[in-house]
Amino acid sequence: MSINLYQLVLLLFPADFRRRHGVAMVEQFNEQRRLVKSRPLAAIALWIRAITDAIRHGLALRFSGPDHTPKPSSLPSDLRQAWRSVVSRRTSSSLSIALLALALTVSTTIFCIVDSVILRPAPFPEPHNLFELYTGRSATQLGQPYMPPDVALLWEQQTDMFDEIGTFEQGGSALLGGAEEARELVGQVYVTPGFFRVFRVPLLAGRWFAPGEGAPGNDRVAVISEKVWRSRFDRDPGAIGRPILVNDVPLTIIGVMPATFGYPWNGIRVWRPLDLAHSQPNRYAQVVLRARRDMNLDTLRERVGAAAAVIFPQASKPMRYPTATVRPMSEPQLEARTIQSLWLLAGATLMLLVTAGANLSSLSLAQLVARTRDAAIQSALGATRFRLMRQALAEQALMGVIALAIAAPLTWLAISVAHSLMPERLTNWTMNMAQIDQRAALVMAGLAFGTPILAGLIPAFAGSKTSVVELLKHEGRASTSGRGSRLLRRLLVVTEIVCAVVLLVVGALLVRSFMRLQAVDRGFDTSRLVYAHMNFPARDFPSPMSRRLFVDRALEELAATPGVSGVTLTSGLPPEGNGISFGKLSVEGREPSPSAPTIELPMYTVRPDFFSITGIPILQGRPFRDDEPKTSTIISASMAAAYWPGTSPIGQRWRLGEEWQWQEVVGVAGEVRSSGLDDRFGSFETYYPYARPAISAVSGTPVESVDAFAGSGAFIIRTDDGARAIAPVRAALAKVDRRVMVDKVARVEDLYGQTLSQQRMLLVLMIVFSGAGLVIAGIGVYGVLSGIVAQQLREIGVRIMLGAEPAAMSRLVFRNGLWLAAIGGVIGIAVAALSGRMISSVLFDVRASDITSYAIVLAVLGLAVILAAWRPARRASRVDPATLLRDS
Amino acid sequence: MATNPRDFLPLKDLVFRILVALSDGERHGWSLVQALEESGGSRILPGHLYRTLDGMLDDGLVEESDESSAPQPVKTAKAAKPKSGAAPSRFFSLTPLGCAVARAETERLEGLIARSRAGKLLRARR
Repeated sequence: MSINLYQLVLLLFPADFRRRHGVAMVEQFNEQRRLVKSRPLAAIALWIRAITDAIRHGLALRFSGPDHTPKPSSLPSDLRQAWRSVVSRRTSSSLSIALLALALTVSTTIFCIVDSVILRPAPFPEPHNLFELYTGRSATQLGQPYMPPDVALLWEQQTDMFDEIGTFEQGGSALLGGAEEARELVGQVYVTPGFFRVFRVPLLAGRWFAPGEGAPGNDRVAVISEKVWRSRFDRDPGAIGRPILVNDVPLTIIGVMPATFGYPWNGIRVWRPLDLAHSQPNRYAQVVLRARRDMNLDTLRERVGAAAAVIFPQASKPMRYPTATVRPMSEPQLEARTIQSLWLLAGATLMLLVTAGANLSSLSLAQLVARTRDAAIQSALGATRFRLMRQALAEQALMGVIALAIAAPLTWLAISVAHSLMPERLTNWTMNMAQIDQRAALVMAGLAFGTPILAGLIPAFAGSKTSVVELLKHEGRASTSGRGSRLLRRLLVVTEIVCAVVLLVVGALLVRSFMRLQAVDRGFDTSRLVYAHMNFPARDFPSPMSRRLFVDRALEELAATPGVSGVTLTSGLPPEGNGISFGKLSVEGREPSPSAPTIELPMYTVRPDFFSITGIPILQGRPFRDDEPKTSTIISASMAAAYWPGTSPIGQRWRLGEEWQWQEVVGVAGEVRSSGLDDRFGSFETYYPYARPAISAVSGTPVESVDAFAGSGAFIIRTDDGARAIAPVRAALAKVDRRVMVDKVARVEDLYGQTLSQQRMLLVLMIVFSGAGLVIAGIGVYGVLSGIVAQQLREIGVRIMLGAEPAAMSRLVFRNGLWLAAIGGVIGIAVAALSGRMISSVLFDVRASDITSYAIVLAVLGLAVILAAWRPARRASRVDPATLLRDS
Repeated sequence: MATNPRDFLPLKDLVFRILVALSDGERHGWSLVQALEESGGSRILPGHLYRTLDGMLDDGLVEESDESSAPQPVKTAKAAKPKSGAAPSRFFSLTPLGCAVARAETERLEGLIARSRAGKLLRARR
């Protein structure tokens, strides 16, 4: 009966288990019962224990299976152990994690920027097949991308040579929206139907332009950017077919391009149709093409060159360059210097990452003493070496995960900040946005795991190479971190110092370069000049007279504003250029040399009082008069020196091409920096009198016009206090007529400041990098010296006992620190000097071998090392031999 | 399945005791229980024993057979064979891995003992 009862109890076990072991279990229980048969209390106890046994193991079998012998520790258990280890060393772990998170944030942010600007291909299908057509001297020497519309039309007819070909003409800025809406100034461009086909970017809504659209009477259509679609139509599909006011002309929206499409530049919001057959001959067209897949760059260049030989002679006017070639769109559109700056930043980031990695490794080695004990015990308990290494690496990987979790939102923040800080020339001319995408996430995760694991490899290896015998031999002494690991730690710290020195040298050179830039002579007094740029909406100011009326009233109003001592009108003022013309300059009476270089002339249309108000000096001749003939010009001193060396250019005549009228020089103006403070003197500024030859904003050539204020202009206001005058100037212009779009009011000095935005960004980042590098190296030095003091406490104690001065012990520690600094400093300076060529390209007026910068860096390094050595040195000097002896 | 003996360490007490008990040769259930109880420790109940044996079978530390492979049952086993033996007895024996694991655990414990002798714990008692 009782056995039957036990069989009932066995029902707690799974059926399969019962089938295999049931009989044996009953048998065993039976035998056990037999042994206690004579003792009722023991029998009851056996029953209770048998039932408990069945409940415990029966349920365990049902829910978690047989009781396995402990398996090799799995990843979760490694991670649990790693977590306990990380938490137990709170200070050093937090430090390592913080450093790693910082390095991750910086490197991913810089990667995103470098990737968006340089590495990532253009965001179009098969981007390697996309090219811009250039005129040039040869297949490899690019000239200009501009060509007359009739030539572009001939190229567009070469359909058998390319997969797709399209043309665009820059449309400058356009006013979007009517008076009642928020008006904004946006970029617009005129494109042929082939243009969109070249890029193969699908529209979000609507259609592309059809052939014939763009011809007079059939040009009131537009494709808008997704950004406009979102902000003005709330992404309503019904926006297609609705009108939008562009420069006060209602255009019918026929399509929407995705916001990611930023060609020819990122500010474009409106694409308008272009019919090359009806295009103005003085406009400049640019051709883009998609090459056939079977054509490589060399074949393409060859065929384009051959086609140019046929097309160029048919041009309506002679071409400036003899042949045509192509530029791959995958090449960044940026200046070489900007790209070099980015590579410099990438290099600096790598240095910072190496520094952070070396520091992690060094901290990890410092923990080796503790780890060796753990490892020896675990090894005695049966852990294999591989398992010990895996545990140590799991700890590093865990720190990587935590650092990643901290760095991810920080990177997102850093990229948002970088967007607002990035200079326009960087954001406008890149086809990709800097953002955390798959590539960035991969890089970040790779660095987050790779850096700590690589950094932890040597310590993990060293830590696993331990035995309990070794540990017992040195019980009570911290000598398990042996000679090798001490040397390794010093090596790592020297690496950190080398990186910090290189970063500091670059930082110091950039600071000095930036200071030189800021002190550059602008050529005129910019501190109290205010620049106010405006656009005339065509609907509100349809006639020249209405615009003239506004200008006259505004001049009066501004002149009457308190604090204003003078005001003039101009088409532009350095560094805010207006137009630039390209060509070969010929001087009357001299045969132009065929080898004469093509030059760029910055052009400014000015009023007679321009020079007195801006303070740009007239060095020879005279300023313009009120009744100045339209062909009078004032040229810059450098242009005078280049074309009339040793003689006076006054009264001489010149022109920039056969389509130009001869221009007579009436004055020579002082040098100004046309395109910014880093612009060297020597660009050939040319000034033209207002009233008659106005400058086409598109082509940059003078065009005959009775209306000098066709679309836009700028007031230059001399004030008593530039910064305070900005609000009154805005108020005065608004008082005259609110309908005028005043898009920029700023001190001319600030405009120059803005031209340094790229250098400023580079400088700020390099200061942050070098500061971080210095702090990390300092922590490294501190760690090594603290370790040395901790290891040599007995030795120091004995020495003090034998009569050594405590101060001598401090000196010993300082000497150790300074040795590290000296070795790191010398190697760092050698590395910095070797990479001087890379640095010199971004420097202004400072040589890469600038002794002052190197001296400053060494002084800063020395100071940092002394600071880092301070506490260990103090500890060494305060060793009490009595306490030491008692403790041991 | 792990094949490195050190991967199994440290062993649970019952597992080690089973391995030691089987090191003399194969045994059937009741014989094993007796050997375990003789080697010291509390009474082993069927649920605990067979769940542990199941795990060890899975891990490849022991193997079972319906008939004894030995020409003559080992003396201890024979003596202990239950009287109500109507059902076929199943015998458990060590696998080579089980042997290696038992040896590794023994060495591990020896190391521990050596350490505890070298440390202050046993020194203080001396």
